[in-house]
Amino acid sequence: MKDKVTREFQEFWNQAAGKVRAYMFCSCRNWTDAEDLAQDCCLRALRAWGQFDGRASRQAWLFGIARRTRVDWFRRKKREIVSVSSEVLDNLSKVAPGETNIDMTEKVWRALEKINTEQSEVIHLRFAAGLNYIQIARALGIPIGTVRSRLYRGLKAIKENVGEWENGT
Amino acid sequence: MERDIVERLAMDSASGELSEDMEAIFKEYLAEHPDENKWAEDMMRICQATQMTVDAKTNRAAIADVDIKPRLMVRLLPIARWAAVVIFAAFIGIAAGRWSKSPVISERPAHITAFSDLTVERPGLDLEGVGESFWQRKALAMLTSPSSQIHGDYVTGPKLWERYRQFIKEKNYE
Repeated sequence: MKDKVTREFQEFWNQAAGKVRAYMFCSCRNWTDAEDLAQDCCLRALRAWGQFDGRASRQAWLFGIARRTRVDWFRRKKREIVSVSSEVLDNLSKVAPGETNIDMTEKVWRALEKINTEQSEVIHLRFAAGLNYIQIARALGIPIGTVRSRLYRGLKAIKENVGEWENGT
Repeated sequence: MERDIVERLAMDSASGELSEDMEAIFKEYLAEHPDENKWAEDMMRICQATQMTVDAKTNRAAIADVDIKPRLMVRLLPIARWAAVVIFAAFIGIAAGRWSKSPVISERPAHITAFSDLTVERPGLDLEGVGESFWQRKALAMLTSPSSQIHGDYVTGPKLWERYRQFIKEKNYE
C-alpha cells in the first residue's frame, strides 16, 4: 500500500517537478535556492499526499503547497518576496555600457522583478507553472476574477517597464 | 469596446481561456476594428514575450533530472558527518581508557630499614665512608615510607591550601 502511494507520488512529481522548479526560480532567481525550495515542496507534498481532498486539481493543490513553501522560505530568510530596494532595481534596469544591445528577454526578465508580489505570483503560476485561471485561483485561494485582474495588471506593468510595444518594436 | 476590455480579452485568448465560440467572435470583432486590433496585438505580444522569457530563464528546470534520493542524502550529509565525528571521538576515548594504565610507583623492598641495607639490595653499590648524614636520612625516610602515600602525593599532590599552610608554618619556624 505504501509502495503504491510512493509510486503514485513519484509519477506525479516527475511530471510536475520541472514546473515547480521553474516557479521557484522565478521567485528567488537563484538555481540553488530554487532546487532547495522544490525539494522542500516535494517533501511537503509527499507528507500531505494522503490528505488531498479532491476539491481542486492535483496541480493546483501542489502549487498551493509550493506557494506556502516559498512564503515560509522567504520568511525564514527574513526577506520580502519582492524585497529588492528601488535603488537596486534602478541599477538593474540600467543598461550597462557594453550592454547596449540588450535583448527583449532580459528586459522582460528585469521588468518581472519590478512588479508587485501579488501580480508576480499570478504571472509565475501562469507562465512558469503553466496553470490555468481556475488552478491559479485554487492554488492561491482567491476568486478567478482576482486572478484575471492581477494577471492583467502585472502584464501591463511589464509593458510599461519595457516600454517598447507602443512603438511596435 | 474600451481598451481595458479588449486587452483583457486578448490576454484570455493568449492564455487559452476563451471558449471556441468566444474566440471566433473576438477575432471577427478585431478584424472589423483595426485600432482595437492593435491594442489586442500589443497585449498578445506581452503575453508571448513573458512566456518566452520565463521559458528561456527556466529552461534548466524543464530539463533537470528528477531525483529525490541524492537530494535527501545531501541534506543528511552534515548530520552524518557530525555523527561520524562523535562516534570516532567516542571510540578513541574508550580505546585510550581501555589500554592505558594508571602510573604505579614500584613498591619499596620491605626489608630495607637502614641506608646501609641498600648494599644488600644492590651488591655493587659502594657506600663505604658514607655516614648517616641528613640527606641520607631523608632518602631513607622516603624509601621506607608507605608507597601509597608517595603514589598519592605524586599523582594528585597536596592541595593548594595545605601547601600554603605548610609554607607559612615553615616560614614562622625559620
